[in-house]
Amino acid sequence: MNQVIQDVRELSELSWVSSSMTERLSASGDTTGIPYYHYRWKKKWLADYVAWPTSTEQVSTILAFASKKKIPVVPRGGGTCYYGSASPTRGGIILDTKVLDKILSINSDEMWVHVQAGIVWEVLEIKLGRQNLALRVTPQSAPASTLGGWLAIGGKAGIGTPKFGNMLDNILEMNVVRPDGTIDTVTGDDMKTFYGTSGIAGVVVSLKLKIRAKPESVDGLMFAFDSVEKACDMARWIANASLKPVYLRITDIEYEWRSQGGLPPHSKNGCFIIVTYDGTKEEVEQGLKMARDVFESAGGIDAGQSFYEKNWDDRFIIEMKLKLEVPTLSMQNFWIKPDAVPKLTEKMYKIAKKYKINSCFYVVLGPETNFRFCAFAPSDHRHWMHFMSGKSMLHHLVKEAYKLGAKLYTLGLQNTVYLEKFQPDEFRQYTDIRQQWDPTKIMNPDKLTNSNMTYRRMNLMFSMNGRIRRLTALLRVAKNILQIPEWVREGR
Amino acid sequence: MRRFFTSEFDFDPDKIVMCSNCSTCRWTCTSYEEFGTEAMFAGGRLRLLRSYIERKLTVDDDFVKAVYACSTCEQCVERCPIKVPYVEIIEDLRKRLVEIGKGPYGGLGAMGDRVFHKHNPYDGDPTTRADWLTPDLKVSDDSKWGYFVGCTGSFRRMEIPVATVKMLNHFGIEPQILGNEEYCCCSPLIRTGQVKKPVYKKQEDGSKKLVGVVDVGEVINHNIEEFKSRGVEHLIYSCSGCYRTTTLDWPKFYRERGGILPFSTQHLSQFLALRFKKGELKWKNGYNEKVTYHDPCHLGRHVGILDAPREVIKSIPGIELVEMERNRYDSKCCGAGGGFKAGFGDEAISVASRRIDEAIETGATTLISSCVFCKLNFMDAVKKHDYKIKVVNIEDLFIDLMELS
Amino acid sequence: MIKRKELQELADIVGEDYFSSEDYMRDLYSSDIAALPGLVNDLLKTKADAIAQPTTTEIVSNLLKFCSTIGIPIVPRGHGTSGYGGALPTRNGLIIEMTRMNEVYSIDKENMTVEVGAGIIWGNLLEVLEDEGLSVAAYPSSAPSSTVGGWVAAGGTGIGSTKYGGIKDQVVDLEVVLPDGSVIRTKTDGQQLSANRKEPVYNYYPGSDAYVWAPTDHDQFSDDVSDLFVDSNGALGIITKVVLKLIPLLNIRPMVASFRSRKLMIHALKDILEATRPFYLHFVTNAFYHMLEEVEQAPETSGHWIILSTYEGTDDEVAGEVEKFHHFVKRHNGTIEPDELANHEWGERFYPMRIKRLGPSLAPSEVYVPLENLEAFLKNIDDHFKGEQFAVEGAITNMGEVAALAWFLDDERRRIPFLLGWYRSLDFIDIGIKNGGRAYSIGMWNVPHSRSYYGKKKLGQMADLKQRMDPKKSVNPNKVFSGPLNLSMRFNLLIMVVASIAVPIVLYLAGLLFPSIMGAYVPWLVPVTVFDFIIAFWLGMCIGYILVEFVNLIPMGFVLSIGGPFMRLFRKIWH
Repeated sequence: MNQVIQDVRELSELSWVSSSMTERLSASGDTTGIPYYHYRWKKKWLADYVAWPTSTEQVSTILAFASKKKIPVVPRGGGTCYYGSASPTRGGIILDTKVLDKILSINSDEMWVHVQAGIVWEVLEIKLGRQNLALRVTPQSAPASTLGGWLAIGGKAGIGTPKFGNMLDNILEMNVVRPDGTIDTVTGDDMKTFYGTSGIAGVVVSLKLKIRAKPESVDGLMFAFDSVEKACDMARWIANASLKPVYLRITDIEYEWRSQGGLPPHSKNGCFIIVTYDGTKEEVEQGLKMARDVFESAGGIDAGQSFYEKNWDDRFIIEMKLKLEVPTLSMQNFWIKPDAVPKLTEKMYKIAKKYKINSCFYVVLGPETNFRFCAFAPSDHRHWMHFMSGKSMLHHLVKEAYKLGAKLYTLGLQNTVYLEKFQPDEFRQYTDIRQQWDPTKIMNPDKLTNSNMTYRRMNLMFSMNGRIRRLTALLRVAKNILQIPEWVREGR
Repeated sequence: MRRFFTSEFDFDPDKIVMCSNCSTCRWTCTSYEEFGTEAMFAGGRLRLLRSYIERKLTVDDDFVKAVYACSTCEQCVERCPIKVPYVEIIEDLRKRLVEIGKGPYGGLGAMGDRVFHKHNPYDGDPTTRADWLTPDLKVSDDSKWGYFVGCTGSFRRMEIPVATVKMLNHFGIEPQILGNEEYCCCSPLIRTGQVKKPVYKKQEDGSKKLVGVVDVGEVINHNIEEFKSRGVEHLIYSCSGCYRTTTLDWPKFYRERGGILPFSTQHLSQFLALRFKKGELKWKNGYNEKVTYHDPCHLGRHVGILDAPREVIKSIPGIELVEMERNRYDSKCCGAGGGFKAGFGDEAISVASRRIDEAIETGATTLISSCVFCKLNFMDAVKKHDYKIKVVNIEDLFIDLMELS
Repeated sequence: MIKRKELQELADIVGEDYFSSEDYMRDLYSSDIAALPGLVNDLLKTKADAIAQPTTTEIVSNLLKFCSTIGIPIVPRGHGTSGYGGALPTRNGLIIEMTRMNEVYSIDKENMTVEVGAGIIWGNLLEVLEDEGLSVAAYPSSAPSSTVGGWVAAGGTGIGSTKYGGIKDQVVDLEVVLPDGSVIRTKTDGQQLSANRKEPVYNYYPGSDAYVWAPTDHDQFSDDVSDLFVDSNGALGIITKVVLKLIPLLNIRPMVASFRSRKLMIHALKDILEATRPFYLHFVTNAFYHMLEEVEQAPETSGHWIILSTYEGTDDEVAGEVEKFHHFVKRHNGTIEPDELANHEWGERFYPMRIKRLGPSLAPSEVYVPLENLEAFLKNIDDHFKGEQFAVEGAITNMGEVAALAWFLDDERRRIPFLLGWYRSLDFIDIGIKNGGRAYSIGMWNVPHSRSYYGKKKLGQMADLKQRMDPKKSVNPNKVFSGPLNLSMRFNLLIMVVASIAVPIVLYLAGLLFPSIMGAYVPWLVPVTVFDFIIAFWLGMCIGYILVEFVNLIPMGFVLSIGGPFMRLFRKIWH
């Protein structure tokens, strides 16, 4: 902190850096508010500076400066992560990469685009669309998130992933700035240090992304099944077939009801599966026919084209629609094999019932028959106990998920706490990366390699919370039996 | 529900809680395109507001600037998956900033003072309001049709009311106008939060003396009562800003006093579209050019009138209407609304020039709009950057093609 | 009780054919649409003595002259389609049914007014006007069966009120027969009302001037006193002719939108009311929808919160409004339903009682709530009536108020729960008033709210008029001005018998329990022999009689306002 104050003059000479309260406030934070316990109340949740570098050189300048002065740097993309991947924990500089949003070159013969990492997926898609080109993979948060952002959280499941693999598979080369300010070009296996590492190995400035010609047709269908097992079986079957779908999602009835506000006919319980194919007309027709045959033979009921289209149109920001019904969305994403999904679902409902949370989930297909399982704990953060119940429910779910062999999908600030206990190999890997490239530990501190919160403390906190909540529930019952008169409650 | 209290704000947090900061509204936002920082887009402002309320920060100039750098174009609401009423929130917030004396931003406060003194935001002499009315224009005092001219038409762009009245006369309608009794529709005041603003007068010794309070409700009520006493049942508008304010804001202010508005409102493009549908609109000349239509935010996204102007344009013989890449509900903002042009003049022009770029990309030679402010701002941009594109409004086109000028 | 001789005289005034005092007729005309709990009926014994159906104003005038001299209570009646007890003969007497005065006297196309007899049914009037290419601006949702005079007397809003206001805004002029038999035109003869107003003469020292309340302190009556007689429930006189405003018959375009949650629907309602000028804006909550579903009458909509918005006007106007309606429904995540459905719902506007099959009884209750508080109000209602079966619908008025109408399902065959369930109707109104609303119509059951409903000034004027014109309170007693409770003879006897049995037992027990007091001081009070018991029995009967006299003096409004909480408590136990 003191150091930062000393360096004020040096930094504020730069026109693309701001220290105004408004900018700092709006650039520190995420889609959700992060509970205080992740900061351990001593740490600074507010950045001291916000920088908008417009060139690789400027990025290099700021990183060199920061590593010299040991000021923490938090690279920031769209800020759409739910787990605080781009939240400062020790103040420092926010490196807003969204100004780096130019397309440098498009090569439609070799089918790649060289683009700066701060461009928003949707903008890139639109710009490519003008030249009749299309992206191979896009995340579900495409309207707001940037290329660099999805790379840093390790994007695996989105639109196009079952067919074209994860984001790393679609990158040919990237230009990076190392934490010490050196500019470098990375290809091949070296790129892995930048994939899913929340920027601890450096800032990706631009990258060469594989693209494809705009598909001739896109179509899909939606089916209702009466059990999650069946739907998962079907999904696995579809994913293993030679003709891969471009998007596949399983949703439960609660989720569908909350997000679409209506259900297809003949679907009183169970879950839905939506699958989309694209490519040439024949491919799509073949894919649809195959999917329809398989679904029908398994006893699925066609939900109708209109419901499919509704869901497909909402593919990007669908979870936000849940906000219509609840004020706060807490969620947890898992990377999971299809056979574990029904078990995890069962667990989820059981835990949710215990915590009195109306939980729901959706599942999106990634590459190699892996799923991203997204569990929601809708709550109300204005009622602290309610909010904490949602969080504890998710905490329990994480423990159960690891038992079933699943892993956390995004790490960020909030999930780093589980890393050391449940994924020790990966933790070691990240520590090595940090050691090798960022010995001064300035890049995105408290992510992946170090956690503010210890697992033991967290566990204790949540189990206490459960007890207290159950106690208050009991008290509430008692209160209902012996009703406290209105005038006593109002304190007259 | 618990409310957050601070010394300065008393803002209902239930409204901002809806926003999940998913940032879907970011890259289309008019002010984000211009300023490029996270504080300068819809969701960012809400996050900022939430921080200011929850952490009880004192309002500083940067915050006021961020709040006023919004053109209230509602692109964010359109993109929002759950349609958080962002513009409503920002107008409410501006109202509160004015209440605590921190707003409005920059010179916007002068508009309120002028409305208080002269009943228009342009500092025009109220007795010259109806000076555009030449003897060849026919107006009556007992017609059921009324025409709300608006301040921009009365003081800045006199050709617009002239064109509109000529157009109405062409269809045999002799509208009533309020003339000098017409007051501002209060759109600029409501947009910038000056719903109740104290008006001060500088005295010789430099101290300020309270002269009075500009109360939007009273000004609006004056207009409504005037129209009511003259028996007007249908009101025509040539200005999209006035139309939006009359349709959406006047009822709010009028309800406590008198219930439902005593007249129906119609924008001129709606009026023309209906004439066309009934077969009463016969164009004398054609317009053999490629044109594109820009949806004014206050007419399109705010009130939902998108098809009527297009129908009118398509009915012109020889015309070729091409759509810009972003049209209808996704239409870009011209940058003139919500006090943006008044507060951030240069930025507003660069927003407009980006929209013109988009229009030129379509190959159109004429950019048609149906809002006075859009036209004004586009004209400024054309003048500044020497674009080769004509900017016209629907009523201009009507006058030209019907040989009424 | 009317004497036989008087009955004959009444029959002579009205004409033998239009008069009846037969038992079945008396039963028929002694209740309105609301099914009253049996006990309330026993208690109040609302049974008319005779029914007259006058055909001209003169007959009404003669009737009133006759009755006011003798003091026969009079209750004017339309078709009895309201549920507020406005047409209940609480003190027995004569019912004057106005339905024979059902002519359309004149249609004035110049000033756009129509003069009709008070007994004409709205539906018939609408048909007559339709042939002329005209229509009334607003009509009640019970239009197929209710009379013009009935709605004028009961007040309220209906279809068309969202644009043109309630009945109050429709009435131009009334012909009223005052309690003393004189006939006035309210538009012009207002001054006449204050003509025989006298300075009160005090035979005693009335106290300092500052504390004296006298009718003269109130504003003088203006020329046009129509407002005073609309929604007066006939307590000030009998409305015989009504002059109504007319509008040209224009095309009507109903639109239906459905929403998924209460919040969205209410926000949409606000925006629709602000941005467009609907002729009739009506909503249905999901509970109502589910009930419709149960009787298989539910429309196939995607959401369960439904808005029906109807637009009226020229083609231009309607087209513009519909465009805006589409926009605002979309803005609030709603779905526009197809036109057939909208037309169907518009056609069903007169039949809200489609859900009656679930009942089999329906207890309705209606209250005005400001639209701003609607969300809080509905939430409040849901919490308050947890476990009860009910449904709410509402129509929005031109002043931004919602006429919220609740239907409580019940079964009148189960006598006691039905009686106790009656509290819901009263509570519904109370909650509405707590949320900044006001009573819908006064009638008899809303008598405790009459001050807040009419406002101090108007109620004062009405009271002044009532006091002077009808000192015996014989025209529509117990309505608007609460008046004393009139218990039935059966109930009076019951009280006396209970008292006469209870008194000897109490005295005997007191003698056993407190010999030190009773035996020492009042030994003669303790019954010992059979003769003593008989004496005590008579004593009890006398006490019972005194009690009855006092009970009969308790004002109706007081009973209603303290009765609600008791019934709520017992209902909770019983349920």
